[in-house]
Order: sequence, then structure tokens, then C-alpha cells
Amino acid sequence: MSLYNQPLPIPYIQIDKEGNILTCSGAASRMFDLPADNIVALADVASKEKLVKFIVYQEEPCQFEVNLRTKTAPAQLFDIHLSWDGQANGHIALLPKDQQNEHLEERLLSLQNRLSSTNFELLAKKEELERALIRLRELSGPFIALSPTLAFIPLFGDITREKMESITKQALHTAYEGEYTHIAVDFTAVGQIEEKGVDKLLALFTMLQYMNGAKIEVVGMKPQHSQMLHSFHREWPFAFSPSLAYVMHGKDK
Amino acid sequence: MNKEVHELAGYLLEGDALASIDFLKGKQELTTLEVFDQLLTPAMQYVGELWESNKITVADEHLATGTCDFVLSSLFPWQKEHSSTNKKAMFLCPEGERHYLGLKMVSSLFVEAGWSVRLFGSDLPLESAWKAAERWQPDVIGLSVAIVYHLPLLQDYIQRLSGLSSQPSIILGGRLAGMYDLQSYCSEKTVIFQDLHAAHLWLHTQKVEGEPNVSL
Repeated sequence: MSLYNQPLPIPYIQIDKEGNILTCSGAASRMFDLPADNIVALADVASKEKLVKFIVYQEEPCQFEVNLRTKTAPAQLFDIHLSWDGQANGHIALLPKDQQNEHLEERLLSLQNRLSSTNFELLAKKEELERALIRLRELSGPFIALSPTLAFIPLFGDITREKMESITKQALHTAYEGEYTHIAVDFTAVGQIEEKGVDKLLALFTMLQYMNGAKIEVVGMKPQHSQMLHSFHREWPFAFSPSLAYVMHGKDK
Repeated sequence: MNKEVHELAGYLLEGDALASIDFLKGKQELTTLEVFDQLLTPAMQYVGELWESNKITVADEHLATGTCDFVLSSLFPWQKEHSSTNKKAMFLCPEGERHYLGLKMVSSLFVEAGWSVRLFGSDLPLESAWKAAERWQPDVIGLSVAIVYHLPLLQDYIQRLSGLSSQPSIILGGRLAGMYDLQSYCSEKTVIFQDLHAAHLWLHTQKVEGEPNVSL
């Protein structure tokens, strides 16, 4: 193989029909590990077949992409421009292409990364919110001991099944540790009431009664609450009082 | 190569994610494995063939890959934090390796089988992979390779990750696993998935072996 003595500004390689390298430009020898005997030896494994196909079977001038092994990279994308002369010598100009695609590749990669990190962020936020929601439910019905025999459960927000389940666990645990004869449940800060929430609330009242034999008194009931509760057609075997003060006063008598 | 695969490849090459998604949504009768194995994988292989026959450029391939990724993300869950089975799997490609679509499909198969899954995707340095695995303690680590000159690096990954305190099973997949015998790059315990069917079969076996005893 000889060095092509014209100062071509781009990598240039001349081959025969079998792909044997006959001559190359200075730019090509600087870029590739030459002398390789055959141009196919420069191709990346996945590009060999394509290169052979275009060198051996293509008679017309053509342009195609292949990945070639360079001195600096195991595979770099090139645009190959190939044409044949009358002596069946192939003239190949090799234009590196990676720089053109680099921008596109980086954009795609950053989009992929964003897709994956966004997903993780959303997942973390979702879990955080779920934890906050559970905590919020637990805090929406605190079990407060006003005296050794009187406990107070003010309910906040809507009466839902999930919220009542959260409150039940905590209320039963605290009630178990004390000896309460009266438990006042305050509806003053209650908003909407769901039917399944009411079922759970009634179950809680029944359990508290069984555990302590305590008298359950519902206080702070508003007209809209009583209308909602009435529409559910449930039995309410519990006392109703206008306010907590009334309960405390009555108990003191 | 059937007509449907060509149609899907056409949408992917145009970057038309919505058309690709609509096309796949019309295949409700297919399982996830069948969609991956009979439609998406052959469509992407066809894209590769188009490049080999000089009909498209690498830039077109990149667009098809990005679109396919988007379609997978939209239609198939590929990550899951809490599972019913309490088994954890993480998936990654070694440093420099950017062919991750197969890895993502396998992640989805694991999610579907009830595993907790973390997909780290392409190009994850060994040190980062090791730290993430030491923190999360996965039962399985899945690696994927498509490029021959990444194989020497793969050996380092398998050796180092096999030494983790959670002693995870190492699974190897990717284009090369279907083409060559990669056993010499693996440890004795490494499981090689030659294709998506092998992954499906392995998951099924695990399910039978690890099924909780309902009478307890």
C-alpha cells in the first residue's frame, strides 16, 4: 500500500474489487490504523456485511453509512462515497458523521433521562402524598382524655371509610388503656358524610361500648348532618347532646 | 416479515408515537410478550435491516428508537416500587452501551410478573450500579449488551455485582446473547436470556418455585 501523494483534505482510500487497500491519503492514515490489508478489516462487526455488499456488488457510484474502527474509537459512523474507475479501482471518500448525529443523540438521551427521572420523582411525590394523607386521616379524629372517665373525639373534615378506619385503630388503642365511662364524639367540624364512613363510625362506637361499657354521646350535630344520617336509614343507639359543655355539665351533676 | 411489522416500523421511523400507540392499542388480543416479540422487536429489527440496505440513515434509526422508547413508556409499566411478591430486580446496560429497548421490555415483563423493578437504562458506570444495588439489595440484576467491544467490560460488571452482599442472581440478555455463546464472559451462576421468551419462561419458573403457600 502506498500513500496518496496529493494533499487531500479528507480521508481517502483506494481499493480493488476485493476491498484490498491500494493507497490512502495522509488524512486516512492519521485517522485509521493502517496498513490494514483490506478495508473490511476496518469495519465494525455489525457493519462488515453492509460494507462487503456495497463494495463487491455495487457497480454504480454510491453513498452509504458504515461504522468503522478508528485510532480513537472502536466504532465511528462514516458516510462513504464510492465510485469505480475503468481499471476496477474503487475510490472512497470517508466523511466522519458522528459530530452531525452527536447533537441529536444527546437530545434523545436527555429526553430519555428526563423520562426516567420524572417517573422516579413522581413516584417519590406520590408516596410522600400517600403518607401525608394517612397522617392527615389519623389526625382528623384525635382521642383526647379530658378526665380519667371522660374522653373526647372531635371529628374533622368529611366522614369517609378510609378516615374512619384510620381513626378506629388509634381510638381503640387509647380507649383500651383508660377507663372511660363517657366518650363524646364532636361533629362540629364535620363536612360531608359518606354512607360507608358512617358504617365504620357506627362499628367504632359499638366496639368502644363493648370495650369500656362507655356511654357514647354525639355532640355538635348540625341540621345538614342529621338529614344525611337520616337518609342512610341506620339505627343510632347513642345519645345526642347539643355540646360538649352540656355533656360535661350533665356528667358532673 | 409481515405487513403489520412494516406498518409499525413506518410509524416509528416517522417519529409518530401517537400512531404507534393507536396501532398497538388495536392489538388487545395479544399479550405483552406477544406485542414485544411479534411486533415491536421485529419492527426495530426491520429498521436495522433498512439501515443495512442503505434505505435509511443512523439519524432515522435514532428517531425510531426514541419513538419506540416513548411507546413502551406509555403503554407498559416498566418500573414498580412495591410489589406483591417482595422480589426486587434492577436492570442496566454497562457503560457505553446504549441499546436498552430490550432491557426495558424485560423490565416490563418483570413488573407484570409482580416484581419490584428499577430500570436504570443505558450507559450506567459500574461504580454507580454497584452503589445502587448495595443500597436497594435486589434479588436479580439484569444486564444487556448489544455491541461486541463492550464484552470485556461486561466481565467486570458480572464479577463485581456477583460479589454484592445481597448475592443477586445475574441475568444477561441483549442482542449478543441471542447471537453468540457468552458463557465465557459470565460466572457459573449467570443466567443468559437468549430472547424474550427465555425471560418469560424464567419468570414463570420462579413464580411456580416461589409461590407462597396459601394454606399457611
